[in-house]
Amino acid sequence: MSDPFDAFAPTTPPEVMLAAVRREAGRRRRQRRSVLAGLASLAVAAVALWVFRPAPAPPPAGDAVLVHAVTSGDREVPYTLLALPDGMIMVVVRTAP
Amino acid sequence: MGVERELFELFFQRHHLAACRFACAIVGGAEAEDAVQEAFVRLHLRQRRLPAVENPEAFFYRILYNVCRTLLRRRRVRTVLVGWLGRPDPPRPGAGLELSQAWRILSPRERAIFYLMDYRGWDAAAAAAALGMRPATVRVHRHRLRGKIVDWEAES
Repeated sequence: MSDPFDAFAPTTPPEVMLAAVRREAGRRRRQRRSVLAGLASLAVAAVALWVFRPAPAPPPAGDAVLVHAVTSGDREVPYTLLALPDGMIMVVVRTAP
Repeated sequence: MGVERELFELFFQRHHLAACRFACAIVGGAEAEDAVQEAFVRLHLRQRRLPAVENPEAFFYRILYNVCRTLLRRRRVRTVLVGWLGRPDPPRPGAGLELSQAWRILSPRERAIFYLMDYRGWDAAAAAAALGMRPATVRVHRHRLRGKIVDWEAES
């Protein structure tokens, strides 16, 4: 059977198309490489940031200060109020043994 | 690198025209060269694998067939969008050979099978390797497309 598409003649000469193919393939290779390099550098930067992250701040130094203490009583439960160095108040309740 | 480059060049020289005709049979003359160029670019990106490929021709035609299908899909989307926007698609300068009515009744897969087997004389196994299907499937499609052509001839 004869090929009806034998009449098809490409408008672009083969050597021009081959040059275009090479150019485009080179462009895509460069693009792919730059994307991979970008991803790799992002990964390296993320690892470096994690490794060299600043150490957590040490807890503030100083002792708790006694504010108020109830040591005995009929109704009240004996308790102690302590002011912590960070400004918080701690309540210590003494339970019966 | 030099051997691969020479292999690619030889492959291009040998298959360029035949590939253009195959693409013309599937997508028409206006986009055939675009499809062939894109397929060769994809092959160029894989040219290191080319010496190890068992059947480079089938490998390349599979790439080309996939590119043609992508082009047809894009054309369908473009047609729908143009329909919504109400702007006619500007005609593209083509090589002057468009698909005849007989080819238009066939699906792209059937066109590929018909072209490779009936005009190029490939057997079902080679066509199946090129189109990424089983030989039995190719034979079934060929049988169906022949029925379509017979029906079309009877109607026209």
